[in-house]
Amino acid sequence: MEILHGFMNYCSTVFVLIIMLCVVLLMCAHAIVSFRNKQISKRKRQLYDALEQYAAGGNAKTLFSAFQSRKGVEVLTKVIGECDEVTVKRIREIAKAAAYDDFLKKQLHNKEIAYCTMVLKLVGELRLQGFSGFVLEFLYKYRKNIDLQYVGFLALSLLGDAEALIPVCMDGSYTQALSFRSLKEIFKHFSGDRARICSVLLKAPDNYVRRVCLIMIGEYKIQQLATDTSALLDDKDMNIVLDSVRALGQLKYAPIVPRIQQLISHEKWEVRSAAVRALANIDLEQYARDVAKGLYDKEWWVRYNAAATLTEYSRLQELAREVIASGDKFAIEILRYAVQRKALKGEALPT
Amino acid sequence: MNAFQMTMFILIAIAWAFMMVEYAARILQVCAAARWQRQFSQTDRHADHKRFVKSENVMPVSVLVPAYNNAQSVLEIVRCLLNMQFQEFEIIVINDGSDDNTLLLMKLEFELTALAQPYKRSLKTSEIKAIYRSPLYANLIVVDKPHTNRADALNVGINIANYPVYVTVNADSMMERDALVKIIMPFVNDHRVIAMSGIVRITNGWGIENGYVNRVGFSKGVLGNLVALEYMRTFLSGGAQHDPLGANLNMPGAFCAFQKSVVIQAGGYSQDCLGEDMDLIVRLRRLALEQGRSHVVAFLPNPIGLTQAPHSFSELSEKRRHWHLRFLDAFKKHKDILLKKKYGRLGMVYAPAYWLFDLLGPVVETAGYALLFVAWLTGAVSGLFALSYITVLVLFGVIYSLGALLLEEGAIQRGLSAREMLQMIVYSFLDNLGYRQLNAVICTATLFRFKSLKAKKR
Repeated sequence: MEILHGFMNYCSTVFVLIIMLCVVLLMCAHAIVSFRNKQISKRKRQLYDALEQYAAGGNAKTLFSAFQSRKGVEVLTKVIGECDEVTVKRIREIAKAAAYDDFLKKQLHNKEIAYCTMVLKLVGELRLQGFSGFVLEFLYKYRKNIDLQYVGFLALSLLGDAEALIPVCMDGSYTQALSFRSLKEIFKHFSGDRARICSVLLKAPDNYVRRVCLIMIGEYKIQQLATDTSALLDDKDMNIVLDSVRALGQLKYAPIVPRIQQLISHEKWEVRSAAVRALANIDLEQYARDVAKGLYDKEWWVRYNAAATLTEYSRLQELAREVIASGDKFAIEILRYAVQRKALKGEALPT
Repeated sequence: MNAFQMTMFILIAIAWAFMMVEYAARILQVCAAARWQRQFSQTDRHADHKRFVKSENVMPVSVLVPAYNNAQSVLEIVRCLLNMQFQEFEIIVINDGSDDNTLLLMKLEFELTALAQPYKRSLKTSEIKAIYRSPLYANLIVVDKPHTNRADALNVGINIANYPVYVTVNADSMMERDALVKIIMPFVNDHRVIAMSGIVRITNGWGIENGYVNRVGFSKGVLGNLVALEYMRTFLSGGAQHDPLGANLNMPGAFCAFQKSVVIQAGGYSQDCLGEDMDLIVRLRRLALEQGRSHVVAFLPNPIGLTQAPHSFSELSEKRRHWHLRFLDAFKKHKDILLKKKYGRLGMVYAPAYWLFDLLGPVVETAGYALLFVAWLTGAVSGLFALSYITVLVLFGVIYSLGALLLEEGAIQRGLSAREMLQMIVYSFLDNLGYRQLNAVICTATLFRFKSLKAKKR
């Protein structure tokens, strides 16, 4: 017992010392965090003051000198992440006038990759040209770093640099590790010639890249790529087929209608659902009968998509009577639901 | 020393050694969590939440709120959820046959209208009485059903949900306005993510308006602060430590997100288990391992769910009993994974560790104190020895609590004043002088009354 007791007393002494150390650590951590927060607040105030003074005719270089440091980069990145688009535009103007790109180029020689990633992010946000070479260098040098891939691709996209984006996307040896949604978000911000980049990247080795191009074609109505898009309806990847159908619908590309009509009876419900939407997009009035076939589909989502689009149909009442006469319980209930939802939202229904 | 005294002493020594090992493991947890947190904060610096919060490229989300007799809080919670910063989401409140005015209040507040909404019955559930929609908020759905249980209510919500990911929120909890985008981003970035949990914070004393925290405060009551400290320990050291090891088996029902299709594949929430949240996580993991599918069940320290601490010790003990009962039931259901090679680390390391420390720990702790008292009375140990025994355990516990505070300071940085920080340090001591022991006693009592309590719950 005495041995154990002695050991306990020894432990107590050690633990008291550890507790004292923890308390000191905690207070130090607290003090450091408070100090850092105050520093950041101070820099933020400096930044807003600089913006005001620059608008009043101040010298950009002098005003922006406080941000030519690592802390300055951190604060700028933080502020850009928090403030509205108008303020960001003003920051871009003063950064360009202050030749901030020279400072950032020097920062890219830093050995800490996390810091370099932050600098690249800032380059994209500030739309500073002349960095594409650096971005590509980093993308290839740290090809397994997902954060860097995201920031690098986003920077190139924000800069609208198709000449830098195309080679890296077409390079079969470069493994692009970003998720589809991240890639979609990156290309959404592409500010260059979308038709050109899509026409090339539709042949990219990565399916995600091809799908993103199809989405851009649909969203930005890139009519000249309709033929290339229709060629992808026979692709092996179902997602490529789906995105092609959607894009062609958004393009209202009438020559492809017979093919899409066939897809209404495709074995995959996702394709049937997309086909219904695409036909409605192309010309609901003309193809309402085909769209209405979706109301009798065995899959809930196809029925729902068909019903939701048919609420825009000018002869909805006539169609509704036909659906009721068919006696199909599921078709009736989904159409009724779609109509009720539209009415509840206060949207006008066809008379 | 006679044979009885010797036996008593040996048992006390074993209990003490067990507790020392448990605390050492907990402190290692804190160290591992600190390391993980450092890595996380570096990656999180590059997270593009601002861009995604307004983007259609982030996954749309269904927020499921099962409500049973929550008339007092439900309106505030729904209003808070409607104000979330997120591009596309729907809120599905499932009124689980409340006896109070939960449904009536919502009908009046949101001008609900019954709608014949068809839905896909992916999971078997009880019948739905009505589905309501609001003309004021297109993304608000209220489902009324007869009273069954939370698991059934959540399954109903999953059937109604339109989106690929859902988040569960209790009808007495909230989220910070940016919590949705933060908890969903891992699903956007990695298709292997099947479940994700955030941290739940105690907000007694905080200033909150429509889900926006405008003041981090300090509870006036002792209990609120003790519970707040306990939550910090549980989430920041437990969740963060388990994450890199892929050992998260338990997630807070008050705030976690799931991939809907995987949950449907696993059969949804089980109604035969009181701990439906933990049961689901274990089943999802088992299913993925059995199918040889790579999966991620993870924890993040920055999406923040908000909840209130119990206001009295009786409320606390009732809640604690309830939680431990759920925990025990889930463990009992999945005892077959213990030490099974086919479940890899889950079966060979993590599940045994949970059994050892989370189930057996409170029993050993309670027994240790009881034996010590008897041994002291019978003269088996001296008063000084008993004091040393308790002192060592209390001090070890204090180190653990202080470790959690350090993690909090590193991860959340919510700007507590120096005075408030000192108060929290004092609470780290108070926490180990009665509160922790009380919890151990409640958990032990729950274990021994498991069958009767479970029958009563049913």
